Amino acid sequence: MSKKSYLFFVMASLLVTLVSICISLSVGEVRIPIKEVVSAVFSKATILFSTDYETSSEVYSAILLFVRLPRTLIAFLVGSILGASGAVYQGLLLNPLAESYTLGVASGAALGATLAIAFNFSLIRLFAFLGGILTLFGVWALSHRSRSVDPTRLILSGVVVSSILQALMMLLQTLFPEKLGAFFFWVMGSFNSASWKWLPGCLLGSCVALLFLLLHRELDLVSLGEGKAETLGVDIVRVRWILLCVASFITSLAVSYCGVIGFVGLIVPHLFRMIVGHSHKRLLFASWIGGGLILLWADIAARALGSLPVGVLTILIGGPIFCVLLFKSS
Amino acid sequence: MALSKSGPARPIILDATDVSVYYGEKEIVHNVSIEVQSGELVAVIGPNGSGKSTMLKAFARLADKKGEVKVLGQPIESLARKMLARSIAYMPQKLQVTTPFRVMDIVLLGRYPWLPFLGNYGVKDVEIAQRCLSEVGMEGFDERLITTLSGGEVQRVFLAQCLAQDTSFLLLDEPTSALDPKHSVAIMKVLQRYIKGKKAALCVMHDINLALRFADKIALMKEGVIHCFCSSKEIDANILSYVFDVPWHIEEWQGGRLAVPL
Repeated sequence: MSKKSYLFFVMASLLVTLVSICISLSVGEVRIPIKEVVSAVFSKATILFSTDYETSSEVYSAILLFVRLPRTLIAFLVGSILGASGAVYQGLLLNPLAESYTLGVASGAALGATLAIAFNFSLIRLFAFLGGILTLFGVWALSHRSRSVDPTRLILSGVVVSSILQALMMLLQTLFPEKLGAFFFWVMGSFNSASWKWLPGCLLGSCVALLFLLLHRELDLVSLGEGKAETLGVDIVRVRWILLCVASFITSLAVSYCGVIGFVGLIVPHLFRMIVGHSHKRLLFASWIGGGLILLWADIAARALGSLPVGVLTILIGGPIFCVLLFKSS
Repeated sequence: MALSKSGPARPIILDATDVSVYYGEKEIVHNVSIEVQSGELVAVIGPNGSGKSTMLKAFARLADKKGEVKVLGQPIESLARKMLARSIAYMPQKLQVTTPFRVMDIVLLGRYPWLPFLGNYGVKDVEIAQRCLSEVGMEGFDERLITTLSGGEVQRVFLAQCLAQDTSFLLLDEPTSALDPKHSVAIMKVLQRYIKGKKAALCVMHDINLALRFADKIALMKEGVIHCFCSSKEIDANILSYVFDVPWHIEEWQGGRLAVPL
């Protein structure tokens, strides 16, 4: 992709994001006409902060302010976290299957939340976050060798640890059947409870995900192989450790808010590699904005179909897309 | 055969003393010592599995070792990775080309050690990368994807990356293994020109005649030991026969020498 085409891609994706946000704001149990959305967001922003909901326009504004806008922004931000993290995992581990799922981070976060729900601990989010991070440490320790970490061992350890954690989750679901509803939320992922309180955490995670761009050269170098990267000046153990930690931190943060949402981290980098190429300078931004867009549209579809869990839709849509990509690449 | 180590007539670029290299517990290279001076092109020759590539990896700080390796007088362990990358460029035997990067992007990565923290490539870096590409005969390939090139072209791109790194010392593991005779000779001439500017190179090679023609010195390795480290003019059929376990004949021809296994 030439520089000009990439610039066009950036501009187009920003425009599509804006349009998607407007569409997302209009879709739901109460359908708000796009005209009203545009008028509320761009012309009558002050009405958003009014507490007098007498006219239909003001009711729309209240729905937009307290339900749709936080949900829309959070869906986009979480998607951007998962997309950019997926690109980092795949670039660092030189493996097209690497993502928070295959490394066990998402399962660890979901188990942490499940444990907190099962034993009535109040800090569910903290448990989810710690679950994800501790799983990464465990998987790292299992795959560590004298000089560095073997990416293949890391992924194999992740897959095994992830299976064990999922079995533990099922055990908890069997032992605490009365809490199946709450468990279900964490396993399937959902933005149904999204509120403004989620925004600072998700915004922080998304900004950190965008900061991955600063290390695009290091990720390119890692793609040339460990030996080449090291002799070109990359401290590969340190870079791998820092980036894996940061990617897992923000993924765990995302999971701690909305539960496990699969396939976004896996599919998005593959999809956008076909458009912007393999250079991480472009791929990281494309995966960031593309992840946000895809999850936003998955959430729009989930709402349009009657508040389905968004995690189910991402797998139902992402699975066939992955199969098509696989078929095309072969 | 006794190991000869020449005196320090010119600045020493690489000084390795009693270096043993390990893969896990197993010692692959045993107590080798080698000194490469400024302006020298040294060829490392030996049968398969004699430890040539392993020794090069140890010099690039990519393998566990005992003994001391100094580059420009400084132990390689004392240098941060980026600083070491400003002194030593390394081209491995097996080049990983699974990611379809543009050729220019690959060569530009050679400039990474010279970039400041979070800095970007400047016009000068792009000029250097273009010059290096043209030196290895790959001008016009800037926009091509590395995965669409032949093995020999890939090898030349990575050599251009090493040249763009602008280090004092090149460690090249079989830099001409995928090249045809024309390009092999051209690349050896590029290396000869490169080392003239107070630089040096250590190349693992399998083409004895190329080594006899272009290398200033040759290190002959067998079973993890350097059996002879001397001027290429001093290499005779007996030492080649001993190292390769096959008889050799060397013939004087047009001012040079030709070596043939019998």
